[in-house]
Amino acid sequence: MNIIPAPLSVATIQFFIGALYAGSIWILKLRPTPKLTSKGMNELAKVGFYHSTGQLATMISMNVGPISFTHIVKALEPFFSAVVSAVVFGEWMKPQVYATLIPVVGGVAYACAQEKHFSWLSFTTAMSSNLAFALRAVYSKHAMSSSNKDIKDLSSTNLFGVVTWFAALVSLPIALLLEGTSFIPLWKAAVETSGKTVRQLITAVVISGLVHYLNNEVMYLALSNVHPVTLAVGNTMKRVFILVASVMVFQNPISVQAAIGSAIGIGGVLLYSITKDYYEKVIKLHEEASA
Amino acid sequence: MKSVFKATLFLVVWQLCLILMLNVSCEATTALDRSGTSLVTKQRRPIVTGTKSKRLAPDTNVIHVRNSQNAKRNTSAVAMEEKGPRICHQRGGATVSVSDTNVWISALLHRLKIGFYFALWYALNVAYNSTFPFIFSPLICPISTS
Repeated sequence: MNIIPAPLSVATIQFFIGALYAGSIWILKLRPTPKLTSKGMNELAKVGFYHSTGQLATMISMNVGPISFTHIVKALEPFFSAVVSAVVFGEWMKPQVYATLIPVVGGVAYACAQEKHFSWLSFTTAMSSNLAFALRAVYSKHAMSSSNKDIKDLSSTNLFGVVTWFAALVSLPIALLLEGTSFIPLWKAAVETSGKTVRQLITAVVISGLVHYLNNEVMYLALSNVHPVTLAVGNTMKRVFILVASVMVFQNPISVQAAIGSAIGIGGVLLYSITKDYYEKVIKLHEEASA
Repeated sequence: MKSVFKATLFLVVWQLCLILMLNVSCEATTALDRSGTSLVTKQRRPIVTGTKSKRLAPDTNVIHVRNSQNAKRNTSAVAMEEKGPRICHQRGGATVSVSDTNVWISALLHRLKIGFYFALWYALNVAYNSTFPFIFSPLICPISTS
């Protein structure tokens, strides 16, 4: 995208590549074609809207500000997931569990804090993407539930396929409105300046779209098995994973700040896990006792 | 080649760490999990039943199959019933009590599966960042940095 500085258009193309991939799987009957009621469609359209706005906001945030700054703000995602899941379902976790999110978020943010540059646009778009992704996770989890009569027998992977279609349809008018006229000149300029052929550029965009889709599809598989807050913690820890992997595998140098932040983040996840598990067992025992 | 081996080894170690660290307990029964998506029901995970005192200390280390004429002829293995203090569920009209070992293996497999999902998710994310030049940075793109 530094070759093609049109984040919305690139994101929309990626959505459509993912949507076409999902559609081809349904046409080839490799997966059962989803059947939804109109209410179910509305619910998934909402998830598609969150998916699309979250992705577009992330793209804008990374485009207008330092990438490390976006990562700091994005590290706050577990807080958003916790609040959104509590507000939507009215079920709050124990305060002790919420408290354990502080070292996770703080540690990762500290590890990523390499640049002091602050951009309001980057900040607001990254925060918007946090909110959108938290809503996406919580509503997706609700859609996956068997108690939801409007979206029955829809696997997590199929669900994401439908969501991607909606996301593509939502992002198309936005991209056309904001970047529609500038995309073709930017594409031509990219071909001239980057030294890449049109075919190479198209291949790069198609591959990135496919990998983006598969990446999120696997995320949905994980989401179908864990709580949205746990998924958000996993997403935050993904940043530390890449940092630690770069050190261990490629011997990349790491600053003391990044090492301390990563250690705090990893410790925070352990603490979150133990605390959540402990209180869930306590609640379960209480429920059984009172039954 | 050495880097690939190291990367694979790291991924395996990280996955094991995730299994231990991330909260994927088979006992997880949050409000959202209870809404039906949790493997608490899908994986036929047994429940501990019986009196309050016995519930806290279930009869374990026993594999007990009991033909139950009164049991419903329900082939759904998910169906569970509350009979006695043992860990039990119903399969094909017979009530099956399982030991802690089975529960432990089932929980371990569940954790491994989720750990695999997370590891694959992380790996695909690295791949995505590698195919998307804009997102390159020393922090999130170790391959290009290397």
